[in-house]
Amino acid sequence: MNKLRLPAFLLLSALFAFAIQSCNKDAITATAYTTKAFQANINGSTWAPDTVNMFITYNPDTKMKTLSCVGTKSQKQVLFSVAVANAGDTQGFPLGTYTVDGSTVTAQYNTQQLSDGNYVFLPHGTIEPGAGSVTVTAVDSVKKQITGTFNFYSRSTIYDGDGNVVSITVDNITSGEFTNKSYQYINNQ
Amino acid sequence: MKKIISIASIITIIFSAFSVQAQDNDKPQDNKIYEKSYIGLYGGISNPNSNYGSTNYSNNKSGFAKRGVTFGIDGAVYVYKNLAVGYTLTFQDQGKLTYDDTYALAQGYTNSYSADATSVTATGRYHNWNILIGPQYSFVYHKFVLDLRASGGLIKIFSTPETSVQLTGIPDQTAVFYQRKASAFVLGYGGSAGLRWKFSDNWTVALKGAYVSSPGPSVKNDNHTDVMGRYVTKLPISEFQTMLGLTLNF
Repeated sequence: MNKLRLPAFLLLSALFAFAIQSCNKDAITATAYTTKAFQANINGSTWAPDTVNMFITYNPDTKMKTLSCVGTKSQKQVLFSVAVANAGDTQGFPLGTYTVDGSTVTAQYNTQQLSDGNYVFLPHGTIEPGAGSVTVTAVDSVKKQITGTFNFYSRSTIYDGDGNVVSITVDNITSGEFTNKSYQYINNQ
Repeated sequence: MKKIISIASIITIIFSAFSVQAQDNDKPQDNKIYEKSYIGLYGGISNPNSNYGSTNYSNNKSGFAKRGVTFGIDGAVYVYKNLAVGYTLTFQDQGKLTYDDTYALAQGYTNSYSADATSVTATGRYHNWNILIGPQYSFVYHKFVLDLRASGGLIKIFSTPETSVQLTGIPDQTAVFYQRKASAFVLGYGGSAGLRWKFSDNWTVALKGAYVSSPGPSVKNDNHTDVMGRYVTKLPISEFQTMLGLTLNF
């Protein structure tokens, strides 16, 4: 019996090792999205431009105040502009939701394309009136920071030589947001 | 500093007590009975320390290891009086990356690269065997034996977690990059203190604390061409184990 003690120890240890070796090894996946102050979702993928320029420009002659924004990253560019009449020469901007109308409220989705031997940003489709909106939810005119959302879609239609539609591509720019984004105030006087 | 002095004082007192007892026992020199060699089966908890257990994305040596089980064989062969050569062969499972860990990595890479998004997938667990040997001295007090040991040897790493990282919006790093699973024999060292209680002539119940440290395995990275942020090349191991065991004298 005594001779069996040591082998029994070793056997028990080996069984224990086998049991532990087969512990749960399932894969675990986690995704973290950017927390940048300016971001949007372009065709299902999060997009956060590394270059963002925001301006509020006041024209005393026309008494128009215009919020304009350009964000650029990874061969993609999003632009929008909102012009408001009789807004006054203050460093803020009226809160509200502004629907794209093609004149006072515009939006554009550009992609980098080869043109005349150079890569330049060109519109990828057109954004029709009513195809989106920009909402300004907060403005801190002292710190010159603006918060809001935007979304729109851009439609590209390809025609054949006879003018028949070959294909229609829609780019969806959704869940756009800018949070306490700094802007520059310009008086065009 | 006060802590160190207090601990040193306690150790000195304990050693003095054992020393006095040993002198008492030594009086009948010829009848002195020294400890017998033993082998034991141990099991317990292994806690990762320092970098090994760290979950800091910015620390390239942080291992994200978790508290896990350890078990194995431990024993000693007495070579001169109560001086022995101790040996230990233990297996450790130090867990795997949790969702929070993978999310922390994903957040870290998103920030490091200014990426639009990052997905991190982690697979595999920390599994290794410690194969250590070293001098041991045993202090005997009635039915109790205090074993102090310094150890050195090998650590066989069977696996470490592997991660794959997919960045979005980074043209210079479009490929999924990997921190590969490591497997290696590395040097390790440590020390232990164990207390055994003899409940029969040949059997004891043992409680043991052991510290093990190692520079750890080298880690291979694949497809990581545009290196920014966390980049792991080495995973140091440091663990403290608390184990309960049953030993058999022979």
